Amino acid sequence: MFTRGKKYLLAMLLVVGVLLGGLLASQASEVKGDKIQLYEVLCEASLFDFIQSTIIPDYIKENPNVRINITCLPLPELEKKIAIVLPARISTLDVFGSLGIGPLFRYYETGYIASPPDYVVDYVKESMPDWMLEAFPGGDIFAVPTWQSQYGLFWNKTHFAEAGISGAPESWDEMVEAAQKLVKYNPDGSVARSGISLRLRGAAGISQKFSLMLHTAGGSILTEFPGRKFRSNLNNQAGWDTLELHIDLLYKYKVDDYVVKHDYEAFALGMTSMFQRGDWVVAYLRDQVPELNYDTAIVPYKTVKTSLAWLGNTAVAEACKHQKEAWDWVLFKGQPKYGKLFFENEFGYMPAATKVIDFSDVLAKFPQWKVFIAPPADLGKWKESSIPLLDEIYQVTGESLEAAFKDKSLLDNPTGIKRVMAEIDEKNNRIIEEAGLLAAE
Amino acid sequence: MTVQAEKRRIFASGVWKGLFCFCIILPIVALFVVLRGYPIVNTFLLSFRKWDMLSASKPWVGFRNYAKLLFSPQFLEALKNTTIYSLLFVPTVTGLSLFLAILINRPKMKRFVSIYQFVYFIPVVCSIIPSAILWRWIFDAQYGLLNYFLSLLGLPRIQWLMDYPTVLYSIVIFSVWKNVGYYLVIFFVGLKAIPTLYYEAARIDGANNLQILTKITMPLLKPIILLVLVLSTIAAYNVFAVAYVLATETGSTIARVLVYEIYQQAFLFFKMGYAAAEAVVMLAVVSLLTFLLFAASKKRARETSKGG
Repeated sequence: MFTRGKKYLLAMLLVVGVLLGGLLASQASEVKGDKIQLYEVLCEASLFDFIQSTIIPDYIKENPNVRINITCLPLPELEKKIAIVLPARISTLDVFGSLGIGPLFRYYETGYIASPPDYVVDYVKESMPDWMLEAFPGGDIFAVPTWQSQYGLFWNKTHFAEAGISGAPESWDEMVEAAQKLVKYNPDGSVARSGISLRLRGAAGISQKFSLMLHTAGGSILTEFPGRKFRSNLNNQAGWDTLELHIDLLYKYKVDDYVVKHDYEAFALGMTSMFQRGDWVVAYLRDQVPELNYDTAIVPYKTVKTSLAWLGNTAVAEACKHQKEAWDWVLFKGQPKYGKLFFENEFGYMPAATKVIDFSDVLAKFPQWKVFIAPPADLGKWKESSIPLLDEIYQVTGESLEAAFKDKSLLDNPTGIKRVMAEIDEKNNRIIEEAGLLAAE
Repeated sequence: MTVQAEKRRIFASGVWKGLFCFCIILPIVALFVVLRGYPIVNTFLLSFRKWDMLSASKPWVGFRNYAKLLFSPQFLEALKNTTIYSLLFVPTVTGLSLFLAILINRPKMKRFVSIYQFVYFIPVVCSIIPSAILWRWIFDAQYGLLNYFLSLLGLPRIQWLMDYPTVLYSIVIFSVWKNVGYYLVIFFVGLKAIPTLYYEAARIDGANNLQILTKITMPLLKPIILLVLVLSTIAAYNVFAVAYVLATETGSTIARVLVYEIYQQAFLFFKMGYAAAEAVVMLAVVSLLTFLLFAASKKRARETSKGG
């Protein structure tokens, strides 16, 4: 008969045995089918739906031995996942899209992104406009541009007609004059309809939208020097003028305030007469308020006609075990026919391969896209810096600008404005210096 | 059986029992060590290094990360906001949940106890993100319900999510709404555990409701109150999702809190060593507060027992 001690021993062995068995079983139960599994992650829900419903069925017909597993995450979660998974070289992240050149370059520099084969590089060079190729630092193509976003001015034609303004403003002065005619007030003096909707909240967004005007004044937040060195560049005439413009619009001309709704939602609701945003807003307005009478134009400029052009790219992880299949998948889903189909029916971000796509039928239906698809020949394009610290620079700059916008004492105060810009430069340069990327003054 | 043999038999039996218990809890302990213990120790060690998550090397920087964060406006702002939030949230949710628990514990509420518990617990089980998005509209300066009610009273609109420190109050309001049901249930269980004979004896001695509350209920509820204070303090310092959705989602840092600051430094700015140092400081602050709560409770208990 079993003694008590032996019973305990048997019970222990049973527990350990169950645990070990579970561990071994979990290893053995991994499905090893004969299909190549590729894992992709992106952040646009409508793109996710489109790929699942349209592209993958076509792909499977030609590649029955490859299975594509796609996950869609919000952008912050996507960035976090990539930041964690790529360095860990886990093979559950093979293809990832939706990132700009700057964030991707950080991973490329440290060897976490696979170098594309020659036929992929050739495809990129043949299909993409030159400015996209120039966006890659050093000309090294390490990802496939998938879609792009251009920025412009959205203006409400009905509001403009009511105010007796014939067309979209082209210069800063025209923009200020138009905003004053367009603004409407509540009985308590607060703004009921802003003449122009400024970006007043959200540090990173403030930096980007501030840059839209800053570049048209000939400035930039960062200047890149040879050897991939950088300096913050706000404490100059362009920076002062741009901040002064924002302060004047808020407190001198009172064409916007913090109470009224902002951004694309405000424009859709008719609570602002003009604002600056990316081309995807055209698709948003098409879906939400198709009856809205509006048009688009280039970003009003002070001295330089230019606009932000943003690039979303798809890359393959170095840890991917099936890199050829992964790059083939990237090229397959990037085919012009899908890009144009998606652009027309869904999202609104333009496909990157504009060199090989005919948009004339799209423009016939939605002429508002013209300034983005076929901008004036003299409109320049600037790209966001590829410095790996861009998120932090934007955050620090945006926080300081957010505080400055609330500072009424900066009205007619050039000394105060110069102080603000000098402080921002000092903070940014400290960050850049800590990373060993600061250029000599 | 001789005494010696009996002793040996009892000892062996105890050893086997101990080994058996050890094996049973080993999986959980192993999980805890792997998922909690190791990351905590690793984070502490990482706080003395500089690492961007991508480089193979993690150079030793000593206390530089700690020195940097002690003078960092962003970290100090996050610490200040989180502390203010805790000072508002903890007493409010504790007091309100205790008050509600006492209310629904009354004999005439006996039939409706389940209904009230259910109603107050609904916010607890609602997903935090949709709830916060809903409240963002309630707090909206132009279209929000709160400002609508204020306008009915002739009061001016409040920028609930745009002004500082109003945004902190808004986050507290949401958090109290979200969590009061959880602590109410804890208090309710505590109230139910108090033997009714104390109340009966008090009634016989002529005690009124206030005396019963202050002399019987509250003293006997002290361990539960301490538990709720500790839990709510820890939860308060871990606030993230609600502050992020209500006030930070657009990138605005008007309500920068500690966890968001750590998240931003680690996963947006790729400064893992610095973020680890921030996390260690946060752990130290929360541990200190928890220790102070326990110490205050023990001191009070000693004073009460001395008073007789």
